[in-house]
Amino acid sequence: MEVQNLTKHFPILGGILQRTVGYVYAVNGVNFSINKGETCGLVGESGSGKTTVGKLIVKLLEPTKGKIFFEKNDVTNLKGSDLKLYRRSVQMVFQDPYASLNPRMTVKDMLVEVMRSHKIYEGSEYEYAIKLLERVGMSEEHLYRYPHELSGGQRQRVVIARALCLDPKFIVLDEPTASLDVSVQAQILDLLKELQEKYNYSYLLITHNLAVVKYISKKIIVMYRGIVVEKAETNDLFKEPQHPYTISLLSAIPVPDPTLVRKKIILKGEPPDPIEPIKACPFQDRCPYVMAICKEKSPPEIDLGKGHIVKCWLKA
Amino acid sequence: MSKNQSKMFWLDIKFAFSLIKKNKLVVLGFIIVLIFIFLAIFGEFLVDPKTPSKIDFKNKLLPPSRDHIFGTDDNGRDIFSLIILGAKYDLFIAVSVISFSILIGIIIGSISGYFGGIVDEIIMRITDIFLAFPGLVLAMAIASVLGRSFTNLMLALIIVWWSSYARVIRGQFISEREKPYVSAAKLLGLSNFRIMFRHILPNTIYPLLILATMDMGGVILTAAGLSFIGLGPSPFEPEWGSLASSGSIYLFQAPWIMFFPGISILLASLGFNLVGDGLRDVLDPRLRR
Amino acid sequence: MLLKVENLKVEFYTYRGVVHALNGVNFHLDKGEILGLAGETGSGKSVTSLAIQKLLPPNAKIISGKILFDGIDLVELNEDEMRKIRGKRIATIFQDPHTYLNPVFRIEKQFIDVLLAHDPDIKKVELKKEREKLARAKAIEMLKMVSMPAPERILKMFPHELSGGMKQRVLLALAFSLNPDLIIADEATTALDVTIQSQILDIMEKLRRGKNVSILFITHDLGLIAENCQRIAIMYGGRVVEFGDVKKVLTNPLHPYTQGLINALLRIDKDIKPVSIPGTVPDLVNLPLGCPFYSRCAYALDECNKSFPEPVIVDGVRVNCHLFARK
Repeated sequence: MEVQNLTKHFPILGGILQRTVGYVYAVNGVNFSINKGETCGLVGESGSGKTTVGKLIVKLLEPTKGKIFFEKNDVTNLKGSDLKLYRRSVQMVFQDPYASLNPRMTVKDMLVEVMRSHKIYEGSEYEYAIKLLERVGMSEEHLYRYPHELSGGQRQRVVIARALCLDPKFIVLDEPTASLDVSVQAQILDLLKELQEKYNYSYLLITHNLAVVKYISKKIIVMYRGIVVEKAETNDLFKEPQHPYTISLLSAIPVPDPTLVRKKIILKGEPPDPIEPIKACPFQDRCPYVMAICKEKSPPEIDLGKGHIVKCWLKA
Repeated sequence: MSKNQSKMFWLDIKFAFSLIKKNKLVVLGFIIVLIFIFLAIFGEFLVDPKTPSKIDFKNKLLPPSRDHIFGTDDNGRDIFSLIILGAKYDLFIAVSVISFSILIGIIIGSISGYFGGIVDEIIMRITDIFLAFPGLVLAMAIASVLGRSFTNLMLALIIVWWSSYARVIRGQFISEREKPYVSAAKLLGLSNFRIMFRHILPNTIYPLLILATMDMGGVILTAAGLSFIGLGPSPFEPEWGSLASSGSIYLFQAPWIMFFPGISILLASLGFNLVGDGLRDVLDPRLRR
Repeated sequence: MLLKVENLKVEFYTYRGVVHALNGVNFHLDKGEILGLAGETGSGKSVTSLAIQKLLPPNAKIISGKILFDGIDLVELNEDEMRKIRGKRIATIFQDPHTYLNPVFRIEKQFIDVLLAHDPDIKKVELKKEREKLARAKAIEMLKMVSMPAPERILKMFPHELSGGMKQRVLLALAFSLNPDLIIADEATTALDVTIQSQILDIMEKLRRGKNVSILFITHDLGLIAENCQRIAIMYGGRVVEFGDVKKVLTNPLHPYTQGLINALLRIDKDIKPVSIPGTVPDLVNLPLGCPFYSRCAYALDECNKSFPEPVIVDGVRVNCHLFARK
């Protein structure tokens, strides 16, 4: 999976005639690539455009600009039956499992429905549904349950099972643990890891929680206001974060060790409003090391080696 | 159905009844509606089904007595029997007008709400046209153009009624289509048809059910109104509105001819409204879990 | 001791049956202290916060127990008496600022309403105009304290014109403006981004020091408690199962549930493999007779299924577990 210069601007409609009066600049020229069997973490705060990137990749949204490649094929403008075929390879797991399951369908109905609509496993849908449930650590007894009869962790397992139904190669995980209790988060992440080892899935993990990325992802991408500000191997990024935003983000994460004394970098100001067009560096208003050039020109991408890329004038 | 599931189902029903029982008026509504439905189905076995054609001028305009507890009309027919036999006409009108309106409403409203854009724009302007006229006036115009008959009366009412259902269903679809379960269904490559009718529609059914029950009373009232002004079926089909209409000229001479059908219309529409109210309380998700 | 909750029991009446939300909650909070109340979904932490403010929904009832606030038992107070305490002496910051800020009024009006109703210095002034002027001045002063840029302009805005972090700062300013004795922060920063969260917590800590306020800090994030609180109360199944100094509890957890919770955390500071707690939280309708953690506990003893353990003090930490009662 590779994306090039991916851009999405949502038009804002206004006035009586519903004309476009402005844009929400959600994603502004994002580039990255994910190899087979690899996990890539996409990190950012609310409004950073990370979920939009996910939706663009699975084609729930059409990009304004840029291209998406899957297995070397351009999939940016797929339609109709080609799109249906693409969906068998690329799936998405949503943040809130309760909201993404139809409350009026049983687990079995949901799984069988997907198989039927793609005409796969014809005649053995029931057996395959049980197999899928077992694959995500559940069993036959859950087949006839409704979403509200399952615990949060089980619901997320059903969502994963449903995504696996079509035997995809690439899965976008949008905050897979955000709505779960701490005591079961690790279970779900372990399950995802295990499935990846067995079936060689590729993941794009979208999250605001850096600890989740650290646990299951080799590579990490940090986004700020629709722009990739830093890209690196996860371990390198945690050891030596380069972009001032990444540094403050890491320092702001609370650590459950009361003996640890850390210096917090507290950013001033608010995250920028995404309806303002981007001028030069998007982080200039909150950056503690802001320089004159940051307000004039967009920073270049600096390659620090080992795939560690940072977009900042400080490193230029 | 699994054991657990049927247990939940009975708990649901039990809970619903416990809510209904709290409100005496809703219980009253239920009783009225049940009597109404009972009469519509079994009315022919309770009284002489040939009453409408049994014209007996010797006994015309008799006041209520032991033989004719609601009195007789200008043709000497027993009003009590006519009312009981008329129940099925009024129920039939109400049920068919509402179900056809829902059917049309679902088809048009779901397309409009799900796809949005230009399709939605066009469909909604058309419903605007229908909604712009007062319902009764529009129905009157249509019924008088089509001519006087039972089916034309229903047709006129359906033409007036469907647009409000289309609106409601469209609104429901718009609010549902942004929900993650719909995105998930799209992603899984399910067809639009399936997403619309298997996924979204069942989640919009409760508000629809409430509206439909409330509207039953409205349809009965409007239908009666139309036949009262002479746009309804012939006197041999003892629909309550036309019964009342036939009594209007004897208002001072024999008020019972108009009074009893009138009361029946009032009670039936009131009953459905009360039940609708009760359903709203029961089905309101905020009161559950 | 500012707040002492004793054996608090709360039940909810639903169509599924009686939900035993709180089953004897015990903890206390000293003057000027920050106490972290931690627990998962359904542990009863939010119900505890609502019970202290007496804002429980109509289908809930306090069955028994005491909530001693500065010597007054809040359970005994009626709504009128409670209204005088709520807002004035106990202020709350909710997760969702919408529940507190009225969307149709400007920020200015929200401050003036609260200050005119409760602030004794402002209430003394006779002229209404003067009172409002004083209230406005106080509002500006408070907004400056929460490092809000251009407070005069903020006062003229409606809640929806502010970002999540700004709204939460307005709430902080409102909560602190009446010099309350106790502030309940109920998941106050959960909905915010981490960089904004640390801003807000920083401001909260400064205000707390300046005014010597006590804070009941309710959260599911043990990291936040480790960094901001002095003591911690771990809730499970509607009870506080471990209660004591943050350093002691988090570095040397006694209760198997606390241990499990800490082991389940995803860490950014250490390379430890997290381990989830097996099983699910108990059904509060059919609560087990004994320890609610029995079915998930790796060290469960026979007596754990029979009775809920009495509290034991181990090195200053109170823990409800049969493992320690034995010794």
